[in-house]
Amino acid sequence: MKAHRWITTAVAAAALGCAASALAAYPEKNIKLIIPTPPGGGFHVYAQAVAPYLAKYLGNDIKVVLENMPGSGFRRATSALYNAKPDGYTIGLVGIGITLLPQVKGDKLDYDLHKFTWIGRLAYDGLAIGVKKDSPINSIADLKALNRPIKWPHTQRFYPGVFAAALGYPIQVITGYKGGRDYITAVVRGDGEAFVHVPSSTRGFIKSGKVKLIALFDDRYKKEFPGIPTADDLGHPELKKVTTERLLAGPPGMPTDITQKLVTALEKSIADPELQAWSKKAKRPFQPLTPKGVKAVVDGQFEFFEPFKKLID
Amino acid sequence: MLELSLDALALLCTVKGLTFLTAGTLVGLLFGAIPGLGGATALALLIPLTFGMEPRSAMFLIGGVLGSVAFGGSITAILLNTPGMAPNAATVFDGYPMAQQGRAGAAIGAAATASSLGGLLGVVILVAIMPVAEAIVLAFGPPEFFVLALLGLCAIAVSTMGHTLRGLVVAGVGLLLSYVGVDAVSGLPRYTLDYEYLRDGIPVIPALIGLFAISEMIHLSVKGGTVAADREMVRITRIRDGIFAVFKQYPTLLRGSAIGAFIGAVPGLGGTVASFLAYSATVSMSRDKQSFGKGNIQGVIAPESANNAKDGGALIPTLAFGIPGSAEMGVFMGVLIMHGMDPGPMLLIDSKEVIVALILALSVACVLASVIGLACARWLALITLVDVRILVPIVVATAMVGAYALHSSVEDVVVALIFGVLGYLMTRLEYPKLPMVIALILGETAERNLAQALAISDGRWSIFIERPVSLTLIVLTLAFLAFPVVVSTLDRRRSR
Repeated sequence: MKAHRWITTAVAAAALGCAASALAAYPEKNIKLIIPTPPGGGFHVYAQAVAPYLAKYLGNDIKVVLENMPGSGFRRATSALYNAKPDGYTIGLVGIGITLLPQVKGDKLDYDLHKFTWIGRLAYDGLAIGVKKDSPINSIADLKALNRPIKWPHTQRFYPGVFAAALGYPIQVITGYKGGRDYITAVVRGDGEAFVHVPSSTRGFIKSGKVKLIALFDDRYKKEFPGIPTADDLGHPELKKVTTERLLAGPPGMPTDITQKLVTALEKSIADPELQAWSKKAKRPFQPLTPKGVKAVVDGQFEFFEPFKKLID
Repeated sequence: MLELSLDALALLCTVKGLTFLTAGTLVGLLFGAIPGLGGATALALLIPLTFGMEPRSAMFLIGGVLGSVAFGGSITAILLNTPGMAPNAATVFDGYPMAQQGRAGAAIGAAATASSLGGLLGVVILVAIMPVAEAIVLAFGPPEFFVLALLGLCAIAVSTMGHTLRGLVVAGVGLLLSYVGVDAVSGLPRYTLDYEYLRDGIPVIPALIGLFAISEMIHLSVKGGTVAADREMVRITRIRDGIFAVFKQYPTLLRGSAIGAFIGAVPGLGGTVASFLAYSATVSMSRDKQSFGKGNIQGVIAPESANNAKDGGALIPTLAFGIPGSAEMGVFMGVLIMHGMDPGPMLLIDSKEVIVALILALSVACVLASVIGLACARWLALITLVDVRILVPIVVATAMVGAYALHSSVEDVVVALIFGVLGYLMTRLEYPKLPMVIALILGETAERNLAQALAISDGRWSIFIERPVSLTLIVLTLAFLAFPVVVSTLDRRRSR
C-alpha cells in the first residue's frame, strides 16, 4: 500500500516536472491557427499578416501554420478550436456575430463563447447603412417615411432586422447573397433599396459614386465620411455595439503561462513597425484589446442581442 | 493603357518576371493535374510567398497559375478518365476514348492548343468588354441567373446521348442531393439529419473526385492491364494531328471560348458548367452526334477552350465589383487585399498597372502551359501503358489527399469514397455521371435565384419576361432545346 502511494507520488511528480518543463519550453513545435473562412477573406488576410510575427515573438524558431476550416457559418472552425487540446498548439480566430447568434438563440452547439481562452483582438468593424447614389432616400427618416417594407438584400435576416427594429422602419430582407460586395452590387443593380455593411469594404463603392451612406455606426469613420449622421446623432448609441470582431483565442482551460506568452507575443506583433507598415498600406487597421477587454466585448454583445432573440431565423 | 502594358511586358521579360511566371505555370499544371487539388488550393499555398513581393511580380506568379491550371487537369482526364479538376469533367467524354484508342497524343495536342487559344480568346473578350463590364454585371441579376441555371439543366437532356431517361434519372438524383444543407433563402437546414457537416450541403469537389477519380480506379483495378489497349498505337500517335485539328475545327473553338467567357462571368456557375455547356452545344449542333463519346476530337476542343476562356470571364465581376466569379478568384481577392488593393469598383482606377500585369501574365501563361504540355505529351502518353497495379494506388492516394486538402476535412474524404462506389456502379450499369454533377451545382443556384427573383418582384413571375436580358436567355434556351429537333427534321425532309 505504502509502496503503491510512493509510486503514485513519484509518477505525479514526474508528470508535473514534465509539464513544468513543457511550459518553460513552450512553444516546442509549430502552432496551428484555425481560420473560419476560405483562403482570401478578411479573416485569412489578417491571420496571414500576423502569423509570421506571432512566430517571431514566441521564439524557438517555430512557425504559426494557418488552417482554413470554412463551413457551417463559422461553426465548424469554432467547434474545432473549442474542442482542441488546450496546450497552446491550437489557436484560432473567432468571429463574434455569426457564432454568437445561434448561442443567443439557444441552439445545441458544441462550443460556448463564454468559455474560450481569449488571447486578444486583431480588429473590429462597425456597420453603416447605405443606398444607391441616385436614390431619393437620404436619411433614416426617409426610410421611415416610405411606410412600406423596404427591400433589403443581405446574406441573412438578422443584422438588417436588428437595425430595422431599433431604428423603426419595416423591411423585407432578400437573402441568398454571398457576401457584402454581392449585396451592395444588388442595391446598385436595383434588386433592393438599401444595405447594411462595414464601411471599410464599402469604401470603393462610395468613392466610385455608386452608393452613398445615410447612417454610420462606427465613429472611427466619422472623419472619412463627414456629414453622415452617426449612432449618437440618431439617438441610438447602442447600435455601435453591433460589430464584427476578429478575435484570437485558444480552447477553454489553456494554462495561464502559455496564454500569457501568446498574449505578449500578439501585443508585440501588432506593435511591430513592419506589421504596422503593412496595416497602413493594406488599409487593414489593428484594434488590439486585452483578454479582459475581449471578454467585456463578448459579454456586451450577448447582452445587446438578447432582446432581439426572436429575429434570429 | 498601352504604356502600362509595355511597362508590364518589360517587367515580365526580366529574369525575375519570367521566373515567377514559369514557377506559377508549373505549379498550376501540377495542381491542375492532381485530382482534387486545383487553382484555389495552389493560390492559397502561394499567398504567403507573395506577401513580400512587389504587387506586379505577385501577379505574374498568380497569372501563371490561373493560365495553366485548367490545362493541367485535362491531361489526367484524357489519359486516365480522371479529370484533375471539375471543369475537366467534360473532357473525359471523348478524351479518354481517344487515349484508349491510342490517340492520347492527338488528344493532348488538341487540348493544349484549344486551351491556349481559348485562354487567349477569353482575355481578348475580357479586354474588349472591360469598358462596359459594369453595365454587364449590373444587367445580370437573380432572374437572369435563374434562367442561365435552367439553360444548364436543359443541356443535360441534350448531353445524355441515347441514354436520355437514364441521364434524367441521374440528374434528378443530383438535384435532390443539391438541396441538402442550409437553405440559402430561409436559413433553415434541410435533409441534414442533424449532422453538422451536411449543413453546407454535399460538397461538389469531393463528390466529383469520387464519381470520376475513385470510381475509375475501381474500374481499372477490376479490369487489370493498362489503360491503352495497344502498346504500338501509343508510340506512333501524332501530337501534330491534334494541333491541326483545332485550327480545322475553328467554329468549335470559337463557340467553346465564347460560352466559356460568358459562363465564367456568372458568379457561382464557373468552369464546370462552362465546359459542360460548350460540350453539349457542340454535340447538339453537330450532324454526327453518334460519334461523340467515342473519341471525337471536337469533344476535347469544346470543353478545353471553354474552361480556359472562363478565367477571362471570371475576372469581369471580380475586377468590376469585387464579386469573385470562381473559387480561384476568391483567393485572388485575398492577394489583392494583402497588397493593399481594394477589390471593388475602384480597383481598375487605383491599381490599373497591377491588373494589366495580371492580364498579361494570364495570356502568356496560357501559351506557356500548352508549350510545356506539348513538349511532355509524348512521355505523358506513356502513362497509359503503366500497369494499373502501380497506377491505381498512386492516383487513389493523391485523390484522397486532394479531397482532404480542400477544407482539411475527413468527412470530405468519406464523401469522395461514397461517390466513388456510386460512380463505379453507375459505370457498370451505364448511367452517365456528369448530369449528376451539373445538377448538384445548378440545383442550388437555380433555387436560390428563383427565390430571390420572386422576392424582388413581389411574387410576380412576369419579372422573367419583363427584363430584356432574361427574356433573351429564355429564347436562347428554347432555341437550344429546339435546335437538334429542327436539324433532324430538316435532314429527314432533305433525304426524302
